Amino acid sequence: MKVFASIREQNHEFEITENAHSARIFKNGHEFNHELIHIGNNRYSLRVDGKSYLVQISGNNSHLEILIDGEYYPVQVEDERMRALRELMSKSKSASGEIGIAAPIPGLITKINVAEGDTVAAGDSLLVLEAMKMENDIKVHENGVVKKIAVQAGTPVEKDQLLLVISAE
Amino acid sequence: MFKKILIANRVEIALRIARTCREMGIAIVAVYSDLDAKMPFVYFADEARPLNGKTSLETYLVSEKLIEIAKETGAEAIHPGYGFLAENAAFARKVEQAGLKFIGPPAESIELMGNKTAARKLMIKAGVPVVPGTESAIKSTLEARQTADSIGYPVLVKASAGGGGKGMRLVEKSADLKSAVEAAQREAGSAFGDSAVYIEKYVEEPRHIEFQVLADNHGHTIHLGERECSIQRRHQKIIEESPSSLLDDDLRGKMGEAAVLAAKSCGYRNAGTVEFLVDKNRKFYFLEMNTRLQVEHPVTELVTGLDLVREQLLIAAGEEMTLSKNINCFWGHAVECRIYAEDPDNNFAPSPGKITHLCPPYGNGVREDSGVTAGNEISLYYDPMISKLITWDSDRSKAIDKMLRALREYEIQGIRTIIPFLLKVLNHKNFRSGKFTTDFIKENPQLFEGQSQKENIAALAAVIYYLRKKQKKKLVGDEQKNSAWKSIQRKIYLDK
Repeated sequence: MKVFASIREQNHEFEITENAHSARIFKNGHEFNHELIHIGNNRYSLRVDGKSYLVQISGNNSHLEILIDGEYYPVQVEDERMRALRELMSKSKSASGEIGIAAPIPGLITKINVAEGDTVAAGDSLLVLEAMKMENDIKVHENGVVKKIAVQAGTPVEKDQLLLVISAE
Repeated sequence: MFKKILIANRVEIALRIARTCREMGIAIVAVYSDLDAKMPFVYFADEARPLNGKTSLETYLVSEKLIEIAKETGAEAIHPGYGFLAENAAFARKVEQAGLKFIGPPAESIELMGNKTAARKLMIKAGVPVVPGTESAIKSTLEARQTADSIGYPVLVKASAGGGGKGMRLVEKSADLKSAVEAAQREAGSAFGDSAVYIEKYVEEPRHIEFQVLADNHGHTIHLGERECSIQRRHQKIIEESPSSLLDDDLRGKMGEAAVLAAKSCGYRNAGTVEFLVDKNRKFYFLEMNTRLQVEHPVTELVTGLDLVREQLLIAAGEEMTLSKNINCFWGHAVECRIYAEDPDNNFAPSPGKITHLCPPYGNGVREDSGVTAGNEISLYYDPMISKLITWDSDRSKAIDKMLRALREYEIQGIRTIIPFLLKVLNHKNFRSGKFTTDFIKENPQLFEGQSQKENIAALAAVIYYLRKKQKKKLVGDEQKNSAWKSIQRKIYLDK
């Protein structure tokens, strides 16, 4: 599996091989010998290939704020699947101020959280798409109004099928 | 000496003053706004009284409230700190009229130095050099030419009502003067509704160097040497040091003498600071006098061994101050960095919020004058400076190395600070070599770019953290499955 960490537009790609107990982490063919020990208060003692660091990590799962040696690193972490989802979402934007939101993966619409005419804010969940037994929250990235809902709850959708249209503010 | 004083200020400086009071056996009365109730300066004090309000205008700036509380609590004197009412002559006067002592200069000195034109005239009379120029608006091209010729090029043409660089022109040679004056007048007229302009000498490659002065009521007025404060952003100092890398004994002697003259000319008492600009030819000009304790006073304390707040208290109580002679040579070198709660990744926008974790650096030669602790809320209502970090070592280069070490050790979560920016300034080759002017930050836009020194480590840490969270989620899922399985087994067993 690939995991990406982007810091201020710099992309770092890691290759992960996981078994039940541990993960092996590679970058450009180099395997890191690593250990991350939680000390408390979001502080971690990190050891990498014999070197030692104090790392402060806060934020949620994918958007992390990391502080090392007095410097901030806003990091977005995502695996291949999440990246594919996100890229599709941004591709489906149209230039007209109307944003078509398409299904990033084939699946089943299990829940629709909005109605036509609703005002939505960036980050709001629009609907839930279930795929590979995982529930994916489809979120809006701009403020706007729901112009059209093209699907119904309980129906399957194909990849790239239009789900909703949002007119952005 | 006083038995009890009131500190009419908040956070960092209130705590700084209170610490010296505690050491001297003086009881401390703190006053605080609604938002400051949980700040360390409040619980550190012997007595604390609320000012009931949020904004500075409702609280720390209401002289009547402050004087009333001082009288009620039996405080004999009021220390204003810096900012707020520290340079308010009317407040100093009211305090004295109420039968209390104002721990600062006489109201008359504050008034004289607070008025730019009056201060300039006073300095010319006292023989302290000021930036040469016209005292009032110029009336003709001929007058402009005569003035510029007499003070020497380059000159600045400035709008009398000016500000923000509007109506300002830099003129390098006589031939460009006429058109520059006309352009400045037009611009000033449309920007401020007043086309008056004046001319002053353009100070080339300016450095901001200030002298600490002390004056008691026993006939002593002395200076304690200089502080270099050229590293400024939006006209706000961010790094200060003592001594300055620019001065030698000769120039220090001359500037120190001028600083003492300036203080004497306005009948100064207590601690004050005389600010100068020094140009590329090492000529110095009086800028203004700050009639209070300065934010950056700790660097002077570290290289002179004096406690300036103690000196202020001694002087205000009518006692003799510790020294009666100027200090011209120093013990080592000190550097101060101001820690602002601002986001360097977001154009230095204020970064308010709750401090969730705070552990300042320790170790040999490190002093932290902080006003906050974990659990405190940094609000948008007040100044974003949360702390001052000061390092000392035997020479400048070592003191800077120590500051770099200390800043990297600073642990703070919940809000962002300008520490990454400070690191970049301290590492810059021109800062390290001591060759910089007040335009240093403006001239080095690369200081604002993101850091990347430990980026690879940050990326790896993020990935390990991410995988661990994912793993944990899976495990939690397994446990739930297990427990569900167990409960079914149990049910079957019990049903038997």
